[in-house]
Parts: sequence; C-alpha cells; structure tokens
Amino acid sequence: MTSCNSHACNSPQHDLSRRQVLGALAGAAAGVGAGSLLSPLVAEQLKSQQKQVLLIWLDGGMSQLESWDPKPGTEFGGPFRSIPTTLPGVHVSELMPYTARQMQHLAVVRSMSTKDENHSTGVPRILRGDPKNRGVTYPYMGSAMAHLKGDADSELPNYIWVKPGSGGFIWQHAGFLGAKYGALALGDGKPPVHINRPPEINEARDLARNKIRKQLNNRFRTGRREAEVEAYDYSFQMAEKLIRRKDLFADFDPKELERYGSHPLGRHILQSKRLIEAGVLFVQCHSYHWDTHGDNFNMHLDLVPQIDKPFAALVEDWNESGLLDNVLVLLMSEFGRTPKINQRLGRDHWPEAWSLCMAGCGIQRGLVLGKTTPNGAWVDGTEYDIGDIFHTVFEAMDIDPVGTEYHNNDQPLPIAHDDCGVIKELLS
Amino acid sequence: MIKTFNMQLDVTKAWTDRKFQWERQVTAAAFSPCGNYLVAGGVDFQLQRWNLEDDERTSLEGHPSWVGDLAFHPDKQRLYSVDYHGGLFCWDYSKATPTLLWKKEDAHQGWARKVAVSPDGKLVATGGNDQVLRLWSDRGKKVAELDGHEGYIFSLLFGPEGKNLFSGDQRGVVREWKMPAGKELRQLDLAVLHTRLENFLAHVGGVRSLAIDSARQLLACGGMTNAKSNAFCPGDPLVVVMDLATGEEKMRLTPTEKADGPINGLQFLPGGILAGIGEGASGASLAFWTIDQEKPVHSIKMNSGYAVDLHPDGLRLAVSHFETNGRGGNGRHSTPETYISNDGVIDIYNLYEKPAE
Repeated sequence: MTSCNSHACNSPQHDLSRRQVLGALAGAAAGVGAGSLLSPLVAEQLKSQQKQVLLIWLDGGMSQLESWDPKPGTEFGGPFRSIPTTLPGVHVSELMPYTARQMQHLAVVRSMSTKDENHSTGVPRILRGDPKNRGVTYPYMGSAMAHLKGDADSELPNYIWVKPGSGGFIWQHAGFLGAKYGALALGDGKPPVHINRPPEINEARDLARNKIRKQLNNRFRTGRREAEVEAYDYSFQMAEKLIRRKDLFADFDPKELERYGSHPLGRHILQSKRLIEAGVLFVQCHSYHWDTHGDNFNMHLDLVPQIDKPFAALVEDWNESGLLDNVLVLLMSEFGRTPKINQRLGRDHWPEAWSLCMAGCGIQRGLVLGKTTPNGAWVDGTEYDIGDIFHTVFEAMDIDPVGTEYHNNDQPLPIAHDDCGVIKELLS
Repeated sequence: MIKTFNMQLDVTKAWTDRKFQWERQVTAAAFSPCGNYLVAGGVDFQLQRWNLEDDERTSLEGHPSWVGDLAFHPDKQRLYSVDYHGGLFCWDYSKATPTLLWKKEDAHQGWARKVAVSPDGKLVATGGNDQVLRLWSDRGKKVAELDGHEGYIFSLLFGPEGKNLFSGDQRGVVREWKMPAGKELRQLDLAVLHTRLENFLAHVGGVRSLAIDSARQLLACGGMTNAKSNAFCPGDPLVVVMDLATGEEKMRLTPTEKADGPINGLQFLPGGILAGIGEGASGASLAFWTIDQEKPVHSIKMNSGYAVDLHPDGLRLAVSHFETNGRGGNGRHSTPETYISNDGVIDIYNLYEKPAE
C-alpha cells in the first residue's frame, strides 16, 4: 500500500474552514449565483489555509507560435502579428489580447523541451511528470495531489476533471496509488447523471436502497481485483458527495458567461472556477481538438480566443479576490506544434521547443523564462522538461519534491523525476 | 520560349516540362494578362514574379504578413495583392523593377483574404475576416462596403461582364451582388461545403474557390464536405456546380484520387472543362471535369495544391502545389541547420498533346 506524506492537512480546523466555505457557497448560490461565490471573509480564510491547483489542458497541442512565443516576420512565424503586453518588451500573439493585459500576473516558460511526439504516449507521460521507469504506473498530477495533499474526509472530491463529452470515475489516472485517487470526470462540466433523487423516493427509501447496494457490492467484491472494486466504491462515494452540492451546478450568470465565453471552454473554466472556490483540491479542465495538423492558421484564429478570454478573466478575478495567492493555475498541452508548415497548411507535433504558462500560489508574477531561437524552432539556452515543472508545482504546493516519497508495496518511489529539479526562477 | 505552333486543347494529354519553385508554399498564382509573367504569393511576405521568356525571378517586397491573394488589372500594368494584416497593395508589376504604387494597410480588420478586379478595371473588390466586402476604385478610393456575410470571406469572383460579383464564405454561403451598385441580388446555398459538428471548436470548410464558365451558365464552388474534426480538418473534397439561371445545384464533382482537403483552386477552360486542385494530407490531384459526370475525365496525382490559373493563350495552366523540403510530420527528423521551410512549386501544364521531339 502507499503511504501518505507529512504535508497532507487533515486538521479539524481545516475541515471547519472548508465547511464554512461550503456554507457560504450554498448561501451565495441560493441567491442569484452571480459573480464570485466567495465572501471576502471566507476568501481570506480559504487563502490562508489551503493551496489548490487548476490545470487547464489544451489537448492536442496549442501552437506556441500562435500564442506565447510569436515570431512574426520570420520563416516559421505564421501570418499573425504579435502584440505588447503589460510586461515591458514582452509580446504575445495578437490572438491573445485579453491575456496580454494580465501578463503581470503570469509566468510563461518558453523553453519547454520534452521527449514524446505522440499523443497516445505523450499525454500520460506529461501528465505523470515523465518519471524514470521503475516498473510502475505513476499517477497523473491530479491523483498525485489527491494523495499528497488531499483530505479523505473532504465534502468534495479531491480531484475533479471537467471535460467535454462523457463523465465517470477515471480510476486509471491514479496509477499505482490505487483507485481512490482517481479523477471524478464531469462530462461537459455537468454533475453525474441522476444527481437528483427522484421525488417519489424519500430519504428512508433511499437509505434502504443504499443498504441493498452495499450488500450487493460485498458480493461483487468476491473474486475480483481490489482496485476494480475500489473504483466502483469510490465513484459512488464521490457522486454522493456531489449530490449534496447541486448548488455548484446552478446556471451561470449571463454576465459571467459574457466575460468567460459561452462556448464549452468558457463554461468549463467557469465550472472549474466554481469547484476550486468551493474547495476542491485539484481541478483539471480539458479542451479537445487543438491538434491542428490541417488548416492550422484558420483553426487557431478561432481556437485561441476561446482560451484567451476565459483564462484572462479567471486570472483577473482570482487576482482581485486574492485567491491567486493560493491557487496554482497551469495552462499547457502535451507539446507544441512544428514550426514547419505541412501540405495541409497545418502544423504537426513539436516537443522540441514549446511554451506553457503558470500563475498563482507563489509562482513569480510577470516572468518570461527561457527563449527559443530566432526562428522559434529550438530552445536557446536551458531546456526544461516536464519533470522540472512537476518539481516546481510540488514545491509551490508545499510538498518537498525530493524529500517526499511514494511507497508502493514497500518500494520507495520519488514523486518527480530524480534528474529534474525545482525551477527556482519560477518561484517568488 | 513560348511555342505557338498549332495545338488542340486536350486535357487528357496534359504534360509539363516547366516549373517554378520558391522557398515558401505558394497559395496564390496567376499569369499576367499580357501573358509575359507569372506572379505568386503565399506563406511569405513577398510576391515572386517570373518572366516567362527567361525565367528570371523578381521579388515584390513590402507586405508585412502572408499574401492572401493577387489579381491583375486589365491594363496589363497593375497588380493588386492583399495580406493577412488586412492590407491592399497595388504594384506596377510590368516594369523591369516593379514598385509599389500605393497601399491601404487597413483595407480590412484582420486578414484580407481575397482580391478581384472587374473586367473593365474600374473596381477592385476585397474580402476577409471582418466579413465585409469592400469595393475600391482602381486607384484605391473606397467606393462601397457590402455587409451580409456571417463568416470569413474565402472567395471572390467578378462575372465575365463585370455586372455582378460573387463572394463565398466560411459558412457555406455564396452571395451575388449587382455591380457597381453593390446591391445584394441573391444568396446561394452551399452549406454542404461547411461543417460545424457539436463537438467542433471552429467552423471547418467553407467556399474556398469559385469559377464561372464562358457561357455564363454555371458557377462552380469548391471546398470540402463532411469534415470529421476541427483538428486534422479532414473531409471529402467537393465541387458543387450551380445553375446560374435558377440558383439551383446542378452537379457535384469529386476527384478520383484520394484526398482529404478542400478544392482550393478552380478554373474553367475552353470547351467547358473545369480544372480543379485540392489539398490532401497524403497528396491530392489536379482534376479535369466535363461537368456532366461526377468523376474527372483526367487527373494528375500531386502534392497538395492551392491555385490554378489559365494563361491568356488558353493552352497552359499554372498549378501551384506543395513541395516537401526534408521529412515532415511530427518531431524533428533533422538538425537545426537542415530544418527549413517546405517549398512552393508552380508547374506549368501544357493542355495539349506533347509534340513529337
């Protein structure tokens, strides 16, 4: 079995604080659901007591040249302009006008260089931090956080995955940690189906039904792998938790939708914001279809604004509320896109030199780290791997990335790649 | 040298022994009306002019972004080009050293994608991402703004007599405008060329190319249908031929060679034959259709293509297409020293039987 590290916080005070937050949230939601759900007092308490992560994942690979690392007027630079930001001398693509106005809160790493050019292997490899192969399946970042920082008694799941398409309990993310650290996936950001108990079933009847369910579960357990049964158990428990929190899924205020965008990514970032503000430890917000092998420039013309506006609104809101001090926001893909333009006027996969963005939770504000060659194709100077990012994220979350270990059947395992380390420039 | 001996147009016997190559992909290419030059632009900040007599290449520099399109004035002296920063440029292309005559840097908000010149040379039409069609005098004075499109304007074409203008957009709509008044006459439904499935993040496809036959009866609209995603953007290449008298669809044309991208270039040839070129992740083809049947009477497999244009002699076709420069695809496959852009090639196809040596 795995063992938890010393950083997890399960104190009664923590629980109490979280309940306060939840109560305040329920009250706010019962009002009109407008604006931030946090009262200033509760926001202050939350800020002082827990650190959280929101990982925004643009699946398929956003082009660094059409976003964080524009090279206008160069061989591979594409047709777009670059625009100035609130950081003197720093430019981003013209497709990111809203984010450009929040750059003073962000840290952009322009010198990512990773190993995998394929989605099927690259996505899990990046999300697991690409550790050294020790014959075990490492957890995704969200599962790692749930294990290292999670509160088992939390009134909300520790790891929620907001994604397009269908939902469910994705225990595979947990790797060797065990199913209970898996992700509760909310398809289209919506709560699990059947979250509402039918009116004809009263509480007593519901309890009786649950008793039968547990008996059947025990029978089901016989002869099956523990992990499989655990997954069923935990998925039900998580759904139960959310059933009590229907307020988290109330309609969004039209003004919020105006600022974040009513498209899926806008709504999903809004939903993720709500979940973080409600106290969920780790939220992964996913957007698909960024793999622009064809018509890259027409597609980025329409796609990048869909992350620019909600991301900037989120950073602005959390900076104003103070939450950005304690919530780490990570915006990234599994790799970037080729500088070279293919015959479908697309860009292919490019792990050699790409960019990601971080903010909050002690991440240095207003920083651009690293650079690429003038043609944007290669890192010029120090390259950073995903292991370095994992070390840095753990450090920002008050988890010692070197001193903390997983234990898998008595096998001690580092939580991040041994040869990587904290990127000190990223931490304030 | 241009050979002028007796030649009968026969697309099934098309052949090429001449090509022009540039170090960037070329998405727009056309012969000058005087027949002496070939001019091209695309994934680059310059236009390239080749003298067909001696193959000499001259660069026309000044665009701050990629060149979206180019069109010649019938006076055989001026050339118009548009770019992805919204600019409209006018060049005296026929001079030994072409110069920029004037430019409108903000002709459009966002990309200016297409430009067309009326047959009498009095009007220049431009369209782009701001969904506005703008009419200019040949000297660059704005004459009119035509609103109505609800997607990026992807294609523009004046009717042969200049009395009407056709504009095709991203959402699969072709609008016909009365010239020079600018009144909208009708909309043609080309929704089959546009795809936006529920899980798409963007509109895919659109009316990428237009051509009118010499009898003024048919409007061919190129693009692709049934797009499967907004990532790879794969679809089925398709040309929809509309009956201009009724505004109804008359025929659908598809290539023989397998391809998964839009038909980007269309050109009617003498005799009513339609030439078209399209894209494909693994290559595409130059196709020749007779309109009365879905499949081409002849096709030539090649890399992804972007434009076709008929020489004023009616016997030669410029076909711009992709040319790889080293292994492409995912990942590096080369050193920083050898990692360079893919090329653009313009093949000149002779549309007649190759003379015996």
